[in-house]
Amino acid sequence: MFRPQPHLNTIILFVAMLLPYSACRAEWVEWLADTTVTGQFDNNINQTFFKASQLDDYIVKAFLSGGRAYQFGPYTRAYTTLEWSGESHENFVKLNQHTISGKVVVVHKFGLGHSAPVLRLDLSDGEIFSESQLRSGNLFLAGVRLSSWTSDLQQIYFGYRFDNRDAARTNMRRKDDAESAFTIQGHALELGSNISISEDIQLNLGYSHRWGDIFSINPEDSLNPTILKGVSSISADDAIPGLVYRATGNTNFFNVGLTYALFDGHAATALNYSFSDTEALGKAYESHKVQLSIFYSY
Amino acid sequence: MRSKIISIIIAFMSTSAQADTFRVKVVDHEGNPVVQAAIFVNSQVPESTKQPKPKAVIIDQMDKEFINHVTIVRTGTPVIFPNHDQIRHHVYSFSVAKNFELPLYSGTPAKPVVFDQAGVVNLGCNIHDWMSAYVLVVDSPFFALTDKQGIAELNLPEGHDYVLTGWHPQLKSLSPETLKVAANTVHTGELALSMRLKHKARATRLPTELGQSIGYR
Repeated sequence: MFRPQPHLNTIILFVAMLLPYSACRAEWVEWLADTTVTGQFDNNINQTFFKASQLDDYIVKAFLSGGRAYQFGPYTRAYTTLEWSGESHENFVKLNQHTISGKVVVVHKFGLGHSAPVLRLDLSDGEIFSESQLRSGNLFLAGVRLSSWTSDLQQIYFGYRFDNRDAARTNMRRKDDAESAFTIQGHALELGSNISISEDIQLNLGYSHRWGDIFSINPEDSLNPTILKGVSSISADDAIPGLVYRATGNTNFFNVGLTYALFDGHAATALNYSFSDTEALGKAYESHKVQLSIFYSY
Repeated sequence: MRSKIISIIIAFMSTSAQADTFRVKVVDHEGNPVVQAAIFVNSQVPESTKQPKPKAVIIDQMDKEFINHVTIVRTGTPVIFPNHDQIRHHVYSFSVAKNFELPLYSGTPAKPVVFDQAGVVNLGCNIHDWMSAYVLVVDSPFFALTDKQGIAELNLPEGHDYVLTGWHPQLKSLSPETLKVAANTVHTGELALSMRLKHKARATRLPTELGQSIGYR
């Protein structure tokens, strides 16, 4: 089914307009090309609160990004990129999807020196093309982050992120639900640190707290009337057996990773573990993820 | 022609007769060679050994890195910072021995930076935070950096006493703190210095993004 993509069209147009304008005002312009390949294990792909109903999956992800970096004066830099990301699932193939998005990032450094704080603003708008009709739709992300090197070897950051996802209203179980269970919006505060262990190894620690909409897929017989009353949208899922519902919740997300630099810092491999703990409708939803990634930057 | 050759031979003989070559081996606390450690004379240099005005030294920038993490120069040395990248760099130092800034530039700056005070100068680039290098400025004209085997070779005019010492960006302690070279003493083999080094001295350079990129590329 074809759906109009106003957000993606707008951002591509915006990026295209920005390119020649920015290039003539910039101190210099660089081409950017980044790629990432990731293998991931997720122990709760359906994000259920029932431990017995948890389903796991192995996922291979790929990411490609190309664009331009513009340096405006000594302290301000902008990036405009077009990005493609895709993921392939071993157990739940209907979760296979790819996303095309446009991204604009503005970075400003407050002064001279290694420890001068850096403010980063980013906007991203993309379209998710999923094998699951329910999951296809638009994804808009925005964020602001302040970072600083507190010593030669340690960088800290904190920030705010906003996410908005729109999906087609389909397979609805209740006629009164105005939106899809995958039409979700959230806000998150994050803080973290990157610590250089050696010239090649960096330790990455992160925490974020998100509040807003969450979705969860559960077997139909596990949903009691209290839960059904509390959810704001519910549909029959077309990718994982069960019903997918949307609710309001809070998520604590913890992340620890080790990154190893390769090829003089142009590439890296990273091993990452994350744990998320969501509370919604009086239930706890826990998820563990392990990722192994290889990055390359041109 | 013959007189020219004779004068070159005489000049060579007089030079070799006036200078002794000292090899200093620098190891860390585990006995591994320390690369790019600076070894220099840390005592008054006799008037008779005074050298001409120092020549300009180049610290290059390629692939968003300073070429040579450590450079040792004599006080008063002009240093040129050519940029061989396609983009611009913004070189700076906050060090007491030399506080300077070369705002965004490409190619070779018109004027060199003169390092006119002894001490350690930590260089950085304001665009690429991982770029880091050190210039050790010393009053003595006699200095050298260790090679991959941890060996530095110094040619010292003979007939004088010297006190040698060492430095490294990660230096915690040095043992012995100085090496004494007495006049008219026959030295065989290598002099030895042992350095305890801090674990690490510079940030890890990684590709942009890493899922959660921050800062400049």
